[in-house]
Amino acid sequence: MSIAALKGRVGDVLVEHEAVDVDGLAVCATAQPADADGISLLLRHASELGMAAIPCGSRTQIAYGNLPQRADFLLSTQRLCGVDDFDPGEGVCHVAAGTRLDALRAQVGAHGWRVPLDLPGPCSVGGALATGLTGPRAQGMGLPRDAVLGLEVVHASGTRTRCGARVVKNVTGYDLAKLYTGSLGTLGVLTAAWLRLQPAPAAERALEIPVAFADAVQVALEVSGAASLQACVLSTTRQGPRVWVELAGDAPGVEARARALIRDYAAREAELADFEEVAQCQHGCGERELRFRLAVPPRQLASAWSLLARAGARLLAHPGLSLVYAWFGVDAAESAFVEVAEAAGAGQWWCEAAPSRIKQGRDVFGDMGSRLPLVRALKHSFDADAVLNPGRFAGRI
Amino acid sequence: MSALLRDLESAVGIGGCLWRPEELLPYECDGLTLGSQQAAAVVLPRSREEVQAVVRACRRHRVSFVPRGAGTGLSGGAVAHAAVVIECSRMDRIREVDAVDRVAVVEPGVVNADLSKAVVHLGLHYAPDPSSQLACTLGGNFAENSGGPHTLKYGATSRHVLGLELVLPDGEVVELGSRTGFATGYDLVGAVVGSEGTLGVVTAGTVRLTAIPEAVETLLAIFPDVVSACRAVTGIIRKGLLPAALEIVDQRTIRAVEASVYAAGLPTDAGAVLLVEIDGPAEDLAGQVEAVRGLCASEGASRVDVARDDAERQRFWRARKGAFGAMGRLAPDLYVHDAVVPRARLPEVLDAVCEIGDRYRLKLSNVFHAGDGNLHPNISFDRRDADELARVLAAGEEILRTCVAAGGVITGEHGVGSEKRDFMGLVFSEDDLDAMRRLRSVFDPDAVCNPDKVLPTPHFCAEANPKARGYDRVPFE
Ligand SMILES: Cc1cc2nc3c(=O)[nH]c(=O)nc-3n(C[C@H](O)[C@H](O)[C@H](O)COP(=O)(O)OP(=O)(O)OC[C@H]3O[C@@H](n4cnc5c(N)ncnc54)[C@H](O)[C@@H]3O)c2cc1C
Repeated sequence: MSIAALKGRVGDVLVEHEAVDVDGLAVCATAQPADADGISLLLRHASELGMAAIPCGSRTQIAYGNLPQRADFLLSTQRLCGVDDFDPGEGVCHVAAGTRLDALRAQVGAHGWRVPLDLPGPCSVGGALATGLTGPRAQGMGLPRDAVLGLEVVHASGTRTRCGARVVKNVTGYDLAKLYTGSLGTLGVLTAAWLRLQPAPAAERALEIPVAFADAVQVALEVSGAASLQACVLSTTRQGPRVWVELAGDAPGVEARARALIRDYAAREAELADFEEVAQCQHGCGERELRFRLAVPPRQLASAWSLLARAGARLLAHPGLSLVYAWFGVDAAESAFVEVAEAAGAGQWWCEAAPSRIKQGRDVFGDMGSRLPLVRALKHSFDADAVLNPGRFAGRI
Repeated sequence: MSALLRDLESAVGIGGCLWRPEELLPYECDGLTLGSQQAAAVVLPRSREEVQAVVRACRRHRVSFVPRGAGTGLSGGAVAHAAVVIECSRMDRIREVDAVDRVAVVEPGVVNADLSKAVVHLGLHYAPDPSSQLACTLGGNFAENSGGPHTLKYGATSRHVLGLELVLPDGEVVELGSRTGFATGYDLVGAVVGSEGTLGVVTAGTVRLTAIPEAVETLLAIFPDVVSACRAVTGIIRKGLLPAALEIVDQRTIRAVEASVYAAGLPTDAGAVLLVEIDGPAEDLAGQVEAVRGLCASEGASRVDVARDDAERQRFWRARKGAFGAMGRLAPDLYVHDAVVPRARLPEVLDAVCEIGDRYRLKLSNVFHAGDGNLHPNISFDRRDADELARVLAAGEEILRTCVAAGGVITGEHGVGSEKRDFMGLVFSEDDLDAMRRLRSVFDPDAVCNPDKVLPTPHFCAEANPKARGYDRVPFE
């Protein structure tokens, strides 16, 4: 159905009529309500008409997920923007979902705080929380789920709800924020969040350790346990594998740790910008490539790593988080899914990026085991008519 | 013997099923001793299979059931009214400890402190440390998302649970989460932790083990009053310091502690003490100690001592940890309140809380997780005095309302249980609560698992005083 059917009913909604490709589906319009009430009104009418919407923020990760089943419009949070409550004495902030991470970082950074969401600057806060994805600094900063104190949500029916609060410790009722974080907007559209900020570290340093392929994982695991370490990346380049670390904290501890790494592992100083470049690698994916993420416990990391290498994958790991990223060429797509499932073993895997024809008929979220009935029932309970992002999430719900 | 009891006995064996009135007595309340309820029976399963058999028996007989750990909960979450109590204390094995993966797989009946004891030789510990850790079980901790003094830096239970094995209210088993904590689909571990035993019975958990910090410093600062100690806490947070713990003990508590076996040698004329623990890389601590010392001094601390050794550290902590025990000397009953406010509002809220206590003529003292803004106003009273009991309840409600008005919430770690169920409307709208009901109905569509807890019946008027109900059943000795 065309979004024009909603004309005159939903108030101040900017509609862009340029088609956007979402995994092979041309979505003809992008609706940009001015605020959460606007989203609520829009969703209420859209769901009454049996329409489906794909919530989005800055669209940096719009290709993440299974093939959409159907979509009448993209629902953008981009106009919901800004920090409307930030107490530098408290280290928490209330931020609208469409706010870009770089804007938020700049605002709170000026007061000595940092945002514990490690994704590229253009990402929106809503997108970061809806995908639940993170970069390597989650090792030191914690996962997105731990940064969220409260969320404001608009459900498929248009009903607005809130969970959590602005306080840093809270067990008042069920922790629905955990359920919404990482749910890809399938239970409701996130419109604002209370985030717990962290003190910005006084000192940061990056180091680089050249390693032999055979003991790359071992060294990476050893190193990643060090105190003051906020991130560790094991990368493979043409020059061979490298372990990169980023230290953060008070200056004396960071200095001491750096000296120890230089002494014990022949680590070399690197620029923070170089580390940032390596940290960003996880997001890249060529048009003729597939990118997988695997969660494997440390004990199985080395065998998963060598199995994937033998299968011809390009590799990256965040050992402190138990995550491995593997890239395969499209020509090897069929066998890639088999190799990845085998390497993951009892762990988990996701296909984070792939051409849409490869996604056809597959669940890119891997296997949910005995959880599948609960996941389906939750979706049904919150969005029985499959208005929000139908088909895209785990279990193709 | 009823058909239900016969089925329960065949599920758990004869020694595993209690039903005589005198056997049920210890189960008529938990750590919240204001009221009492009579369970239908108590079962003590030894395995997941036995839990499943019990749940299925309950379903056949249309009886609801209530999971229970050690019964130290402070919100009436483990009490059962005509329901079957599933006590998990016999499921107390640590199934696995893996120092490489830094995880332990535990059964729900493992006592919190026993897990840390079992892994200390590996240089590891289980970080969540509720003050009740010598008695409370991990199953109870998972259910309450328990916190402790070190939650400020390390997070509450939720941050340390990677996976759960859960017997659903229909008797089926699901595996939630994973050994790495990452799992596809919704974060069901996140939803079940803190669900207060209403979504099923946890029969195992995979938890994160954390390295014991390289170095620790413990400071004890003496303040003329509790409000200036709160200001020091606000200053420490504003400065960007992240201590492992920031705990305040007020004068009335200090006096109770000093008069008890927990005496720590604190000056009884001090208005409040602030306990600060800092941990991390050894090189960083000296600077942080000086920063904390300076901030305390500038807020009027008359003395700031740094523990010279482990014995002194233990002594400092005794003042904090012995507080609840010491309070037992003040009156027959202790009502431990639990609410949270934004940390920057601590000074004014503490002022208001003390004013409320005075106005109701109550023995109110404070010992609390100041760094998290988590207040524990404790009221010592005698429940046989009906007038005092009424004042305790009225003051409690006023304290909750004060905290909510300051941007806070009605519980930070003890849970809603049956105690605060009817105050949920102070914090959440009916639509907010309805979203929570949706979650619950997915796990427990027939409302048989720990019913009447956490969520108020729809459209309950928060103005009513919930505590007024059920008091005729308070057992007077
Ligand atoms: C002196 C004292 C100090 C305390 N200090 C703290 C503190 O610092 N921080 C804090 O957070 N709490 C504290 N508490 C409260 C209490 O100890 C915690 O809530 C604890 O987690 C309860 O554990 P338990 O084993 O006693 O559980 P119970 O009291 O037996 O049960 C608590 C809840 O857990 C559920 N439950 C138990 N086992 C399971 C299971 N296997 N599956 C599903 N649900 C289950 C029950 O249904 C109930 O809702 C304190 C209590 C006391 C008495």
